[in-house]
Formats: sequence, C-alpha cells, structure tokens
Amino acid sequence: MSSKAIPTEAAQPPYGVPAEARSKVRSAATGPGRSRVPPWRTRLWQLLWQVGFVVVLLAIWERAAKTADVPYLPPLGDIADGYVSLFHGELLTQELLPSLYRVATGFGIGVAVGISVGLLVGYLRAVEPWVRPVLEFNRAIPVAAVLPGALLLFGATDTMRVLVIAFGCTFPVLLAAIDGARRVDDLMLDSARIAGLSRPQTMVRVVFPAALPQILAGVRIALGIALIMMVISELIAADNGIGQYILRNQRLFRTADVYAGVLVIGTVGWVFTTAILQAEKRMLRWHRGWRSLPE
Amino acid sequence: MSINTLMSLRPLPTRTATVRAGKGLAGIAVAIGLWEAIRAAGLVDRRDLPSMQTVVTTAVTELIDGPLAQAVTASLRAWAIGLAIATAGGVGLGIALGLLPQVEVVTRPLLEFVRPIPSVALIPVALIVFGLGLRMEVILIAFASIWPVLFNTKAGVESVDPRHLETGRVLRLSRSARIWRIVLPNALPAIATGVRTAAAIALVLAITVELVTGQSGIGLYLQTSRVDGQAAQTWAAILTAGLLGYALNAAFLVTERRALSWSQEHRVQ
Amino acid sequence: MTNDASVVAVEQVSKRYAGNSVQILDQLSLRVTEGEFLAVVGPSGCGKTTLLRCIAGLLPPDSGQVLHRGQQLGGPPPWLSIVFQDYNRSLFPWLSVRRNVGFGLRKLPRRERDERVRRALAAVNLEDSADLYPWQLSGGMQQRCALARAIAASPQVLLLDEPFASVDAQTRIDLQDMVLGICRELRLSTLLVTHDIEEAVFMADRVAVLSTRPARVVEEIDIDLGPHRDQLTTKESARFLELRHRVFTEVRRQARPAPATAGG
Repeated sequence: MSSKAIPTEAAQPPYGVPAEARSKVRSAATGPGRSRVPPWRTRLWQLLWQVGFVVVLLAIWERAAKTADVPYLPPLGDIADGYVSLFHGELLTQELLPSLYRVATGFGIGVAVGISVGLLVGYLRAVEPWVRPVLEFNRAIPVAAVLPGALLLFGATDTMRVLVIAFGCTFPVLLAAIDGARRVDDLMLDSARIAGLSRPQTMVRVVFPAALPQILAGVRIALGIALIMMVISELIAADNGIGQYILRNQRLFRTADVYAGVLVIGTVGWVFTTAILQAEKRMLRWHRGWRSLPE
Repeated sequence: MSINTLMSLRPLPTRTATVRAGKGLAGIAVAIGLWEAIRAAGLVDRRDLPSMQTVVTTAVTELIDGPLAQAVTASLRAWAIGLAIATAGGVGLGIALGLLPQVEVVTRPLLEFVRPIPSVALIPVALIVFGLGLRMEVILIAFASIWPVLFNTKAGVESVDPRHLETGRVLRLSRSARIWRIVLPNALPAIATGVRTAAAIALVLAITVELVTGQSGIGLYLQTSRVDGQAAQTWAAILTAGLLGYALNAAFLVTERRALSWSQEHRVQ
Repeated sequence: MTNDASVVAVEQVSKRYAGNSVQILDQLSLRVTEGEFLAVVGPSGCGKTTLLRCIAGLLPPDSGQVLHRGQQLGGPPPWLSIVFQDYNRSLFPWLSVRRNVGFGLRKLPRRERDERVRRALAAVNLEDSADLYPWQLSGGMQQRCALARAIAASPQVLLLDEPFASVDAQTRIDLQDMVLGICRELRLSTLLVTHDIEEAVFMADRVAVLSTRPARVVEEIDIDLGPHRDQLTTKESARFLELRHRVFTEVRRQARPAPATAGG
C-alpha cells in the first residue's frame, strides 16, 4: 500500500498537497498504513467530533467576546451579519464583484498565456535554453514587489491590477507547461507524425493533453497567487474591492467587518479551489488510471 | 542557467553546459533589449521606465552605500525569524497530526477552513491585534508560512512505510526514538519541499507587510521610492527582490539535493 | 537502379547518432517488394529499430537514401503505418480505443472515418472494448488497438517494431496469427523487426539477417513455406526446422564478437 506520496517538484503545488497524498490523508484517518474507507458509522462519529470541536471553538470566542474588552474579538453575530451583507446589494456590486472580475480576468489571461507559450517552448526544444533563465527569474520575483513597478507604469487603474494578477499567474503555469511538454513521450510524437499530423496539430492534439497533469498542477499554484495579488493590489492602491474593504474597515475600527471581509475572501478562495480541483479530477481521470493512482 | 542545471550532481559535459549557459545569457540580453525597446517605443512614460543600465547602477550604489542594503537586511531579519518559527511549528504540528490520526480528523475542518484564506488578507487583522511593528510582521510571516510546512510534513509522515515503523517496534525503540530516527528522516524530503515553499511565501508576506504598513524593509523602500517618483530606485529594488528570491530558492535547492541525495527524487540515475 | 516492384528501398544507408562515435548502420541496403512479408533479425542492439525508423521516415540517414516507391520523401509517407513495441507509450491514454484508432483520420468525412474505425476494430476483435481506455485493457488488447490504429489508415506498407515482445507467450501466438491474417487480407507489404527467430521464420516470406553494429545485411533467406502458416503444423515441418536452423546459425555467427574492423 505504501506508494510514494512524497511530493515531487513538478507535480507539487507549493501551497498545498498533491492529490495522491490528499487521498492518502482520507484513508489514513483510520491509521497510517491502512487504506480502507471508513464505514458510515465511523464517518458519523468523525463528523460529530469535528462539529463539536468547531462549536467549542466558537463558544470560546463568543465568551471571550462578551467578557474580554479587546477590540479584536467582536461578537460572532456581528461577523455573520457583515459576512452576509457582502453578498447583497451595494456591497456586492461595489466591493465583491470588482474583486471577482479582477481575479477571474487576471487568472484567465495568465493561464492562457502560460499554457500557450509554455507548450510552444517545451515542444520546440531548441528555444528552451534561451528563455529559461529569464522565465525562472520572473517566476522568482516575490509577486508583491511587482506592484510598485506596475503602479509606476500604469497608475492605480483596473488594467494595472489585472496585469499584475496575470503576471503572477503566468510564470508558474508557463514553467509547468514547459515541463509537461518536454516530458511527452517520443513514441507518442512519432505516432502523431506517422498519422500525418503537422507540428501545430501535434501541439494541440498530443502535446497539450499529454502535458495536462503538469499544467493543472501549475494552474493550482497560479490560483493561489491570483488571490494573493488580488488582495495586495487592493490593499495598496484601490478605491474598491474586498482588499480595500477590509483595510478601510480596519482603519475605521469596524473589526467585525474586517473579519467578515476576510471570511469572504476565504470563501472565494475555497470556491475557486474546489472548482479547479473538480475540473482537474474530471480532466485527469485517464491519467489516474494510466498511472494507477487512487481515485 | 536554470536552477536544475546548477543543482545537478551529475557532472555535465562541460561543453554542453557552457553552450546552455551562453544561450541563457543571450536570452537575458534579448529580454533587456525588449525592455529598452518598450522604453524607446514610448508605450509608457520614459521617466517611469529607466534604462536597464540606470537600474543596475542604481541598485549597485544603493546596495553598497546603504538604504537598499538596510532594507534587504530588515526584510531578511523578519523573514528568517518568521520562517524559523513556521518551520519549528509546522514540523511539530505536522508530525503530531500525521501520527495522531484522531486529532487530524477532528481538526481537519478547521485547517481546511483557514487554508484558502490568502495570508495577506490577514494584514488588517494583524494590525488590529498586534498593532504596528516587527512583532506583527514576524507573526504574520510565521502564520502564512506554517501551512506548506505543516501539510507537507503531515503528508511525509503519513507516507512512512509501515514496515519501517514495525522494524522500529521490533527493535524496541521508544516512541520518541521511532519518531526521531524513522519517521523524521522519511519525511525529510517532503519537509524540505515544504520549507522551500514556505520561504518563498515568507518573502512575499514580508514585502507586502512592509508595503502596506510601512514597516522597514524592501517593501517600505519600494513604497517610498515610488511615491517620491524615484523610478530607478523602485526598479532597482524590484530587481534586487527578484535576485533575492532566486538566490534563496537556489540555496534551498542546493541544500536539499546535497543533504537528501539518498531520497527518491534526488537520486542520481 | 530501383527495382520497380520494390515498395521500400533502402540504399547504402549509414547512420550514427549525433555526438556519438558509434556507427549504427553502415551502408545498409534492403528492399521490400510489393506484397511481401519481410522479417529483419539480428543480434541484440544491432540497430534494427534505428533501421526501422529510417525506413519509416522518422530518422533521416546520414548518407544513402530511403526510397518510398522510388521517391525520396521528407517524412513518413501517408500510406505507411507503424506498430511500436511499447504500446503504452504510443497509444494516447486520454483517448478511448475508438478515438485512438480514428486518430489519424480527422481529415476524412465523419461517416467514412467511423466506417474505417469499425472495420479496423472488427479486424482485431476489439469492437466490444471500443469505448474503454487503453489502461483498462490488457497488454495484448492494447497492442491490438495499436494494430487497429495502424490499419485504419489504410496503409500499403506496415512496419512492426518488435510488436510482440511486451506480451505473454500465449497472446503472442494469437497476435501473430492475427497480423498474418490482416496482412494477407489487406495485401500489405510488411516489415517485421524482431529478435525472435522462430517468429521471423514463421511469419515471413523472406528473412534478412543483420550483422552487429555497424549493421549491414549479411544474408537474405527465402522462406518457402507456402502462404498458409499454421502455428502447430508449420512449426513441426522439416523445412521450417531447416530454415530456423539456418537463420539461427547465421544470427549466432553475427553475435559472436567479430575481429575489430577498420573505420566505423
């Protein structure tokens, strides 16, 4: 049973755990080394314990909020109100939606550019040594540092924010696509040649699907970066958006709304991550079977 | 030169390595050329995009003379302390969660809940709780960086071959001895990857905190230069930050490959 | 001069790998005539696969030429198909069997493509598994899928690179019969590269024996066992044993270390 779940560089998102290890986590709940799925009764017990644990934590919070007189422990009810209010009316349109627009657009552009350029560079082997240092350097720049530069060039505009998010997303995807494209088996490329495919056709119909596992690993990383850059770009130079919302409320000492905003960002992150994971699961079913990985 | 070429323990035929390096340098030259071309084309205000030569010379002077070097030191200080805390905490908690499945199950919803929150979003929260200052920065860095270490350690611990553990029990090793001598080495490659990831996150957090709150460091340097309209200094700082990020990542990789050459991924075929 | 009946002509082809001083092929000449089944055997590592890739048009020779129907082509000709040994590295794992088989037929109108796929799958007995994925199939079935993909393109020439080396003995026998049947029925010109001498003699009309590296053709043996080959009776016949002995001896003679040759 002990398949190697240790993450390797290519498949490992730095902000999370690879799919293989994640599934091991679930089955390891009954103990390391055992892989049977817990029956429903165990599952129920687990759920009870989990819910109980959360309830206890919330109760402690609420108690502390009532008794202690510190600004950073607002009552849960206020936080809940603030959270819900961000999904309605003015707050929704003026704070949440602009953020969603920026992160979705920046992420989309970054991923599209990353995949197309990456596949090209990976497929045309000759190009790779020329561009690699530049790409690796751009990837290594701490993304936050890019913001002042972008501000200089583009001012505090939405274009700037989208570009900054796209910049952060491009390079992990690009490098992952290069890696994936280079790993495509020569025999598959030969089969495509024999079947009469041109180079562009081969890139789209063979290299892209074959590189998909690596590409999606890069996409997962890019999503994390997209959210970070969305927040950073709104903390610093914005007049709307969720990041700006929480900073503004912090300055106004509206603590409950600060927490509420953070929770909304977390929710957005969770929704996007789950969506990507589901899409990945469906798109890579063939890969798991081919490599005999657990579902 | 790519990090991979740099880090390979296998001696490359010198000629190939030199050729590769040459191509890489040529690529860098082309990228600089692109920079200058954008500048010349006037797509952006030329004052905002100084020539690469200006940027580099500014970086050198600022690093040798003072302000940028001080900024780098300040950032690295917060980075190092925060990362150290995160590593210690992440490894400890990761081992605990990996070895105590019941605890892992109960705390799982909490962890999965906190995970998707980008740590930069917690800067305002940290300001409320801790106010301004180095303590706030370090705590935030530690909080952000602990997650990759924690989850990777946990995964590494869970992937320990149960037969190895049984061997330990058969040899009558105590619990702590089993952890120290069997579990930990087994999980070390995963931990190393986690720490390397955490290092990158820690640097981003440090710079962001400095940008937003004015804590001294590269972020503050960037903010001040930009607001003062000093484009050369701003780009010089960005360049420095990039080189810093690259160097740190390379340093971690080298250490990993040297120290962990016995592990699966780093084994020379 | 090229013989008009030869569908593939290899003329004085030499090949060495870039950056290597090892000569793989040394002025090798070979012909495949229309409709014949040619087997190529030789000691391990002698360059059989390299030769096959040159013939397929995947690898350009350093000197000499490969003519396809008298013409020099820049790449693989459209009427040539190939089946590789490693089916799990040449079949596309993200496509079903049906889609794999129809892979090269995109340019055709839908109906014709579906018809060709159906016929190819029927020829290899994979109709029931058409919607499965390669990893869900056994080794033999995967190789049949690769075979179906090769013949769906309606080739005139079929190249086989040790196609049965990765399957078990029982499956190998079934596949041999299947390939023979298909080649006869579709009137293909076939070139089989194999290290299995029995297989070569059993299946082929002619066997070419290669030397060790640098490889050239040292002997060509006509297999006059008639068009109908049976796994049991043919392999027991005296003539088969004679031919097998002959090929075996020749290959073995090549495999023994030869005195150092000048050049290469």
